[in-house]
Amino acid sequence: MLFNEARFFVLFAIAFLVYWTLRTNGPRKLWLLLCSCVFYGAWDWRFLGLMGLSITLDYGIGRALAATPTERSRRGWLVVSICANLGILAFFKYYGFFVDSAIEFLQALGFAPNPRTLQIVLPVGISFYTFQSMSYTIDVYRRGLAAVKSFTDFALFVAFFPQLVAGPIVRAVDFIPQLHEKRWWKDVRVRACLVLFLVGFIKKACLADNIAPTVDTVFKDPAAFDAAANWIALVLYHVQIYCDFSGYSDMAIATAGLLGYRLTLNFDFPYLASNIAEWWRRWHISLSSWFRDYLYIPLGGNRRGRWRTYLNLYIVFILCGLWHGASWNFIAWGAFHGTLLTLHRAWSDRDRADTRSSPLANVSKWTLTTLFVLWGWLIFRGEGATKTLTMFHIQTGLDSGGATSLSAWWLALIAGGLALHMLARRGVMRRPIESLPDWGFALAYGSAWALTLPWMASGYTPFIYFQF
Amino acid sequence: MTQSIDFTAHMKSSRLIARVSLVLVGTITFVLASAIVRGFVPWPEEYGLRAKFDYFASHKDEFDIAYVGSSRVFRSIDPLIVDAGLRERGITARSFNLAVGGMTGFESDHLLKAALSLQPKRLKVIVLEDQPWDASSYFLGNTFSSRSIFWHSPAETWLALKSVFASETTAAKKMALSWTHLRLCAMKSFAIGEGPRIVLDRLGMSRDPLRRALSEDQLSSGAGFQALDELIAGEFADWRKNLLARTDEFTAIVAAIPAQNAAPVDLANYNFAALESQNDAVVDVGARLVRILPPGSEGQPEALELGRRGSFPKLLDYNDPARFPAYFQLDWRFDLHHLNRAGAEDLSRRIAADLAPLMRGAN
Repeated sequence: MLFNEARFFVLFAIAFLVYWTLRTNGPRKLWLLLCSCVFYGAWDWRFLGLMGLSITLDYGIGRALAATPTERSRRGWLVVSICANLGILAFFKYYGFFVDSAIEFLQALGFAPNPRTLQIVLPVGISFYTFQSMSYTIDVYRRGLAAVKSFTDFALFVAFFPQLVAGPIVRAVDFIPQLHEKRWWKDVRVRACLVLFLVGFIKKACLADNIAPTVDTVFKDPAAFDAAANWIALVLYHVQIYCDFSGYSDMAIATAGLLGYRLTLNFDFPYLASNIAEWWRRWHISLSSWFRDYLYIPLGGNRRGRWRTYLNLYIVFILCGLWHGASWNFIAWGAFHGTLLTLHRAWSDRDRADTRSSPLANVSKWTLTTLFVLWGWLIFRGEGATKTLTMFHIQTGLDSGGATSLSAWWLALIAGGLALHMLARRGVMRRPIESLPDWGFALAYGSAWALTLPWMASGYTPFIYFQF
Repeated sequence: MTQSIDFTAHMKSSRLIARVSLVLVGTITFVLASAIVRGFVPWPEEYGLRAKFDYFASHKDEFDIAYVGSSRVFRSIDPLIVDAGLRERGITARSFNLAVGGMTGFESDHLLKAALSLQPKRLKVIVLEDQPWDASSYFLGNTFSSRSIFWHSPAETWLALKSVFASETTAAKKMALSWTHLRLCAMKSFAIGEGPRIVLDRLGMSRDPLRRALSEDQLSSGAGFQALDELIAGEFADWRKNLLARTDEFTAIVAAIPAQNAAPVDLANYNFAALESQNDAVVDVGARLVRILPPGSEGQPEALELGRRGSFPKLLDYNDPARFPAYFQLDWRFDLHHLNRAGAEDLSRRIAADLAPLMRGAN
């Protein structure tokens, strides 16, 4: 179930009303857990069992870590947790990829392996909830967090429906204490949550989903389009993936907020970043900080010399790429970003005194960063190495491309979107919204939804004439 | 630690009322603003629906008879021939074929009520194709087409939901169908996804190549009728080829119609409320509803059973191979389901003869 589906609105309305009508925290948490199961089960109820297994395993290991005094045993439990979590993730997400890659490799060597592989359905959100659950056992192992006593609390931490399928990846240390806090309706920032949900909805349902068909068309056959169209499609994908992902995160944060819970900020205007390190501090923050805290720093971070730092960056970003999906293009994307970060790091190490910040320098840095992020998306989204290279060649003039163009209106829309992005960062709309009286906000909010829904990508299909 | 945290407990009743009022203000604003936006949503253009309705609307006080239904009415009734037939019988009348290809029962009902809401002054008879109130199976691939969204007004959706729950299907399927109808009603009510169509329409740019199934001139000179013989191109050509390639199948289809018509019918679950609401809407503008079964490719036992009940609108039944064998022979057929021009001309003359007594009564 997605946040822009009609049935979500029905479920959330019921969840919200019952939640705030219940008088105590215990029943409320049980209610939220039930709603989370319905939310996840709406996709495929059979995978509730898999999530249940993950929850039970890490809850049990958390309890075992709390009860085990010796470091060796504690380390053993942690290894069990990591192996079990990554094992489940590897089986459901990467099994087919690794088997197919091995078969291709063996075929390239002249062998003829049996190509039959098990077809496995990828459970929605498995990457998110596995990382979330793992963060708990690691934090308990590090003694940064007390093991949770209540199974309901732990299950709700993993399965909390606003962030279950697409993040943000919530840390146990951030979320579990909230389960014990007093929760008052008067503390809910209703207006901010409502506005954030609408903004997220517009990004996801009106922008990303409407852009998608054009992007898909060009990426499917880049050779049929001219250079400008190939560039426009890439920039549109840049917009699409941001609007899709950050829009969903906005809705998740807003939905949780209306239930009195705080989720981590996941995007902080990444497309305004002026270098790649800054970009990663602003893009999918909950994931990049997870990798930083649970992988990069344990690997030694930047404390073991320059070359080890570079190696650590490569390892982290290749795994970060693999986290996004079981495909070579994600690994290549991760390696590409690892390279960019290594180069940026090397450049920064050489030129620490460089603090130039003239407008021209800033624009140049932003342009260069955006260009490389765009090419990163080309690797990420490209449909196979051949088409990716074709698109790159057409964009850079190495190939002439086809005759088909895209409307120049897209450029105007992109420019408009960038301007809005910059205005949003300055918070220009915040003050007018906050200064509205309650009735004025109600009028404005109702009108805003009425003007938004006509622009939602509704899955409109042309009428097909059957011989009625 | 658990706390008593009922959000209403520490909120004075006046504050609660104020908050509920704000929710109501927001909701009402949303509904009203959506209604305004909905007013800008153009009618669906596919297969000439909008063109026909616009033509009818701009000439609404010129017609005495209107024909509503699917392509079996659109391609089978030539208003000019009906008018001439009536004239031979001393009746002056002008009729218009408002039928559109692909119309289903509820869509026809919605179109009919939209036409009647224009309060046409001269309208005396509405000839409406008898189609089942079947909201459970006819979406085919058109579930979220603009035509399907178009007829899902709250009133029409309510009738559809009643049909769904009266149908003999599983509870799970009823729930799924009801949800689909409710979603379509929401899409209609809040103009969901219609923004691009509104803007393109305002700019005079239609994206639909089938916008004008009939030009203004064709609508004017043909009174809404167009024989399929004139459309030997595209998908229509395939229909013709299908018939010629499957003559044996056609013969078998025709042979099965009498048995289908004679099949026992249980009207216990029939949506009489929908039929009565349709009849009332026609009577309200001072006209009379006549139901018609054009020559088709399957039996209509439910319509015939209703026709045998005297209290329901008169039924003109031409879907009978025994009484009208010529309509079921290749010479007068364009394809498996429709008449060709020759067939349509003959049927129109016959309709004129059958309508004459009703028109005399109406005059």
